[in-house]
Amino acid sequence: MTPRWRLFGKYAFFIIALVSAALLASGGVSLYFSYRENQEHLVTLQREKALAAATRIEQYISDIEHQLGWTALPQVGTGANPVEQRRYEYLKLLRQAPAITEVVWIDASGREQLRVSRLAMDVVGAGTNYSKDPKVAGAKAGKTWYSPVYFRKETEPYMTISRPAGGAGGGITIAEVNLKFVWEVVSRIRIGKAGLAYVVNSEGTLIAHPDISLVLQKTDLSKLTQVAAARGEGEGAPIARNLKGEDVLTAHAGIPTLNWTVFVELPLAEAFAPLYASILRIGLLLLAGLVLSMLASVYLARLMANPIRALQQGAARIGAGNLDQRIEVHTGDELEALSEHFNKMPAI
Amino acid sequence: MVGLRQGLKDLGYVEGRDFVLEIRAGRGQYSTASDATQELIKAQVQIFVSAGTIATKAVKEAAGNLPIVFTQVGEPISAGFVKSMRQPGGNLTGFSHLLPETTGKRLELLKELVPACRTVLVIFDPKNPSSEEAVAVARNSVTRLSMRLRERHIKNNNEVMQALEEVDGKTTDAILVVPDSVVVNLGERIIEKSRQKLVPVMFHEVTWVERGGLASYGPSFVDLGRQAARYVDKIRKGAKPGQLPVEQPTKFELVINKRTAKALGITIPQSILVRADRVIE
Repeated sequence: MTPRWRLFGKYAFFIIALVSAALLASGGVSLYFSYRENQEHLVTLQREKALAAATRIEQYISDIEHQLGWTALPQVGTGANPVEQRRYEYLKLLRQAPAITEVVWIDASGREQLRVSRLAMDVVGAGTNYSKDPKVAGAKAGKTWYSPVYFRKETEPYMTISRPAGGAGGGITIAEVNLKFVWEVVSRIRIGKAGLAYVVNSEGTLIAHPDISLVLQKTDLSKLTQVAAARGEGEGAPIARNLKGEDVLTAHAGIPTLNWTVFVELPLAEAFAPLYASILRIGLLLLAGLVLSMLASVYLARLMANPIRALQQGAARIGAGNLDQRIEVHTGDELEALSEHFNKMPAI
Repeated sequence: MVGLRQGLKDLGYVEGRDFVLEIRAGRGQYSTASDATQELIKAQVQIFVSAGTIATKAVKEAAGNLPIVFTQVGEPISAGFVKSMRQPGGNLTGFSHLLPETTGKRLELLKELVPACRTVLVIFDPKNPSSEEAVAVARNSVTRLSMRLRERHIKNNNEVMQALEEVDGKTTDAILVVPDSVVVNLGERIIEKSRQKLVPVMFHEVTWVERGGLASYGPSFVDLGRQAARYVDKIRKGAKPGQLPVEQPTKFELVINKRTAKALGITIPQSILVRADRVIE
C-alpha cells in the first residue's frame, strides 16, 4: 500500500474535477452566447443587406417615375400644338429612360391622345376610352399607380406605371416599364462571395434574379418557406432551403409601394464561416486551459500531500523508537505546528 | 462576332486557352452555311452560335443534337427553331431581334426624316420568313404614313444587283432594308446606289450607317452577341438549351449619319435628333 499516492490522487482528482468543471461551464456558456450573438449579428447583417437592396430597387423605380414627372414640367414655347409638344417630351423620355418601352398620354376625359413606343408606330388621337381602366383610375387621385408584374411575349417581365401628366391638358401619363433592367440592378448587388439578391412579386413569382432565365421562365417561388413566410404564411427562419435545395442564410425586405419583396441569401457554409472560426478558437482556448489547469492541479496536490507524507514518515520513525530524528515541515500552518509537537515529544 | 468575343472575355474565358472560335461566313446562302456546318462538325465543334434565320436553319439541319445558340432571328417559332419562347424544347435557344415587328417604326422614322417620301422600295426573298414577316408589317404600316410600298422579289445576289440597277430618283423615293441576309450582304452596293441616285436608305444595323447609310434603327447586334456569350457559358456549364428561354433585345438604337443627310439634302428634324443614340458627323 502506498498511502502517499492515495492522498495525492484524491487531491489531484478533486482539484482537477473542480477546475475543469468551472472551465467547461464558463467555456460552454460563452460558446453558446457567442454562437447566438454571432448568428444574430449575421442575420442582422443579412437583413441590412436586404434593406439596402430593396432601397436600391425602389430608388431605381422611383427614378423612372421622376423621369416620367419631368415630362409634366411647363414647356417653353407655348404656342405649339400641345400633343406635338408632349410627343417631343415623350421622345426625350424614351431616350433618357431605356427601361420604358412605351408611353401613353390619356387626356382629362380618360381618352387616349398619344402613344409613343420603341417598337410600334406612334399613334396620335386614337381616342380609346380608358377612364374605367385601373391604370387611369389608379392615378386619378394624384398618386402614382403601379400595376402587378406581367409578361409580354410570354417571357419579358413588364410593369405599368401611371401618374398624373400635368402640363397643358392635364390627364395621365402611362409608361410600360421593362423589368429586365431591374435585373441589371439586382446583378450588381454583391452578397458575400456566393450570395445573391432576388425579387419576388406579391404572388411569389420571381421578377428579378441574377440568372435572368429563371425570371423569363416565370419561376414560382411561393413554395419556398422563406417566400411563404414573407407573404405571411407560416414561420420564417433565418436558415432555409433555396431554389437549388441548398441551405442558405436568408433575409428579406419589402418594397411596399410595389408590393415586391427583396430577398438576399448566402450559402450557410460561407455565412457561418466566421462563426465556426470563433467556435474553434474558443474550443482551442478551453483545451489549453484544461491542460494547464491539470498540470497546476498535480503540482498543487503534491504541495498539499508532501508535508503530510513527511509527518506520517516522521511519526512512524518516532514510533519505531528513533527519537533523535526531526520532522521537517515548513508550511507555516497547522501541519508545521503538528510537526513541532512531534519534534518536542522525545524531550518529554 | 465582336460582341460574342467581348462577352466571352467578360465571363473570364481566354481565347486559345479556354475556347477556340471557328468562324464561318454563310453570306446568306443556305448551301454555304450548310457546308460550313458539316466542316465544323468534323472539327468537333461543341457549341454552335448562328446569326440569321438562314444560317440557323442550315446549322439546325446539319448539327444533329449539338447545342445551338442563335442570334439575329426574327421569328424563332414560325421558323421552326423553338416550340415556345419560354421553353424552346429542343437543342436550340437564343436571341430574337424583333426586327420584323419594328419595321413600322423604321418606316415612321424614314417618313419623319424625309417627309416628302412617297414610294418606298423593299427588296427581299419571299422565302425568308423574317423578310416576309417584315414586309407584311410594312404593308400594314405604309397607308397610315401615306406612303406606298414597291416590293421587289429576289432569290440571289444577281437579282439584288438587278433590282438596284432599276432604282432611280423618280420611281423610288427611299429604300427600306429588311432583315434579309442576301440583301443585307450587299449593303455596300445599296449605299453606293443611294449616293448616286440621291435616294435615302433606312437600315436596321448600325454598321451600314457608319459606312455611309442615312439612318438605322434596331437592336445592337454587338449587344446580342454579348448576350449569346452568356448562353454559351451556361450551356458549357451544363444547362440544356431547351430550357433556356429565347430572349428579346431591350436596347434599340437610332443612328443617323449627318454627312449622308447633307449629301442627300436632308435637314434632320429636331424630333429625330432628340432621340438619336448616335449622330455620325
